[in-house]
Amino acid sequence: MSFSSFEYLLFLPIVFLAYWYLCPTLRAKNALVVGASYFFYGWWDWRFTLLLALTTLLSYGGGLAEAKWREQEGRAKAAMWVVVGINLGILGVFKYYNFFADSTRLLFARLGWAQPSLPLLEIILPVGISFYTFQALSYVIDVRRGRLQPTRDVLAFFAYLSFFPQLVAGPIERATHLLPQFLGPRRFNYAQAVSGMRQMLWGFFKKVVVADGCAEGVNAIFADYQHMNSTTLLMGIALFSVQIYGDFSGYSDIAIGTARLFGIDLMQNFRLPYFARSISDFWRRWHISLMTWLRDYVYIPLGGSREGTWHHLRNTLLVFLCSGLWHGAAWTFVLWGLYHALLFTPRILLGRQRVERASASALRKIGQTLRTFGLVAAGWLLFRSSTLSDAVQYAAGIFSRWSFAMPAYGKTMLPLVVAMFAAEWLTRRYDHPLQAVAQWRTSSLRLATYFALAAAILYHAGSDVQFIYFQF
Amino acid sequence: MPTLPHFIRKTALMLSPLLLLLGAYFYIDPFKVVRTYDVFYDPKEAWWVGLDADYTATCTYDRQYPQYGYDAIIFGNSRSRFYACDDWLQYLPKGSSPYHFDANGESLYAMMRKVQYVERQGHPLRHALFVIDRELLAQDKAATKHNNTIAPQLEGNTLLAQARLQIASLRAWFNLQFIYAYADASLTNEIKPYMMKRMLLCKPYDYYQPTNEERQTDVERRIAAGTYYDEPDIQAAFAGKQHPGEVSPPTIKASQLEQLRTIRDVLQRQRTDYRIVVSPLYDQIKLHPQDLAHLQEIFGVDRVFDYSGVNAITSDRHYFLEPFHYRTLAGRRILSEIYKPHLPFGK
Repeated sequence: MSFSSFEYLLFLPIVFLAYWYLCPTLRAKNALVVGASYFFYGWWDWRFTLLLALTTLLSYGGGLAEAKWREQEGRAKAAMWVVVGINLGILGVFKYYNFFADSTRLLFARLGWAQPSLPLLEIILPVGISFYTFQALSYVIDVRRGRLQPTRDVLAFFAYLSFFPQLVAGPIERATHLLPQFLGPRRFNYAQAVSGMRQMLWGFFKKVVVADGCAEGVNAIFADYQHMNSTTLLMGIALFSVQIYGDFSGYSDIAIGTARLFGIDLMQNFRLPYFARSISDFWRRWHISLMTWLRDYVYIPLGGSREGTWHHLRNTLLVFLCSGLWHGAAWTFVLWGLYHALLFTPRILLGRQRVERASASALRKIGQTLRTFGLVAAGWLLFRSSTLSDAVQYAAGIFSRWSFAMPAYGKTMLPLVVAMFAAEWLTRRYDHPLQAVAQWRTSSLRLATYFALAAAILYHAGSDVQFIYFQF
Repeated sequence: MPTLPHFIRKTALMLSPLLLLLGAYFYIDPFKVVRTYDVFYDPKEAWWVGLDADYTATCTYDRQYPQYGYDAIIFGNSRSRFYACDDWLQYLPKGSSPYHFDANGESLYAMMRKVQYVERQGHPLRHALFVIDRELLAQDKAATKHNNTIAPQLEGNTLLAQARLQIASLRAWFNLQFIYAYADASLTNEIKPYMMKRMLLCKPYDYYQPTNEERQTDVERRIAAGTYYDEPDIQAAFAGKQHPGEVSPPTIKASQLEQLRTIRDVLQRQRTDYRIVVSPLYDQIKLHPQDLAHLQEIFGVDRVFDYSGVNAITSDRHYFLEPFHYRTLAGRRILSEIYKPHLPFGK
């Protein structure tokens, strides 16, 4: 079930009350988390839960095997690679096989060779498989690296991997951060719970009001881009940039807020990414959990930036290709990853470190921010387009149908979008704007803000727009 | 340090407006899904809430079957409403009792469930007319909007099916746009243009309960007056909507094949005299040949009539009320062609 569904509004209070009133022990709490999470996940399709259980058992067993063979380097390493291989294999089959088969056939056809008989599989992509697979991998790898003791508490481990707030769209938690929280006692913390409610409210606002509001214009523009003028096409890209941010960061806020209701802290996943002053700064602020995962498990093991310029380039390219592929089995995602890798290239070749100096003038900072946003937004065109051809034609339309006319869509969203970004910028010391609102002395003003947000959410509710990142 | 009970009390207080709204939902029952009703569409009312046509059609069928003994049923989405029962009766044996068993945005899945439901009730299905198009064929799962959620009776009246209907209705209720429109209409007893967006509320239309028929009396009167197609709104609605020569991508996959075969099996068991009409859509986009081939293979070449693409009906906007719905005029013409096997159709 989705966070913005009515079913979730019924599900959450029931689980919350059962968790704190009916589960006096740690085991009981973890058992409820597992049961509720599997119910939550099975609401999409009960078959998905089998795959999740398989991944969980594999990773749990892998950790124990690594511990058992700690003194036998070869066996422990083999155990890790077997578990990594099987988990990635499952991900590969469900997510990438058809893409691989299709692309291979196309390539053979273009080269004039006899096409290999690669049947296409009729399988549904399980929601969130990319997220929980990476989370499972982080466990076995960290156990191998000695950063974490493998756990024997199977219930806690199941809870760690299936925890419903972050199961289907992150943040991708590390075992070193999340698993200990399921192994340790949890007591109700009023401040933490209230903070969680505030973050959920802000998350729902970003998703239901801002993101879904932008979705209407985005869908209309992208569905008929061949007939839109340049300003509308540019507005389409801008609206999608806002939509994907509101959607994904909104989901993360709801996930983090929900977790706090259960005494669990999840990592922050976004930190004002559109205020980044360079591409590298952007990637330190956007989908932080994925990028740090790729940094720690792909980039650094390959040598990072320590083995010369060409290795640095190669490793950066691999990380962004992985990121592109992680997002989807389509050439547009691969090219999106490649695009971002190319944006890093000048800095790597020139050997520059961070460009975003704190002492820079305000004008320079604004210029850097706008330039970075422009580069990122241009990349979103590849992300949103169904095919490469669509993306190229869309881009061509911007230049060939040049017009200064007002865009056909998106004007009504402008005040809301500006308000959202302004609120986030002005309260950047906090995790989210409502943490700042909580500090206001006048309770009536605080309440008015909360009710205004809730009213806005209720006003826009019912549009049925799916979370974008569910497809990954 | 505030405790859990304090948190719950405070949260309940903050959420009290929502709890009041929840109570109001069950008290008012705006979508008529909580209590049972003899009449869903009261002609005496000044405005109506957009109801779930799937649910109202099923409840009306159940309630009225003992009186009318329906044995001739028209299935399909809202486009099926333009096949008037009176027109259809001309091609059916004397004594046939027709019924419109349709839904807004009908899915193939729900249509299959309706056919199965009729058989499960032990009601003979002697004649059937299926009005389909690529949009209907594409939907192989139950819809989830408040105005087309599948009736629980069609899914065995399970708790899950009943909950799904209530949740869909609650989702529509917990929307300030709807609540505002509902309150406004209730206080002023007037229907205003903004209320009709997203099919929240609607003007009462000519509804004939015995056959569950929605009749376009008001619009037909405007057309007969001669000015309808010259109205700027109508002209703008039709502009640029045609794509002659285009073919829709193939829609029918394994799940749809299974559902179509299930329908066919019921029809064979019932020895139903049926026709399948692929609607003449104004966009002139042709149903994919593969989809048509599947339909013909499952139901028989002589039972499937493809009116999609470019033809005499789709080339003349006077057969249409607006680009998404044709008129009873078109339905009448189609009926005369498909029930007279020696006449060529679609030309």
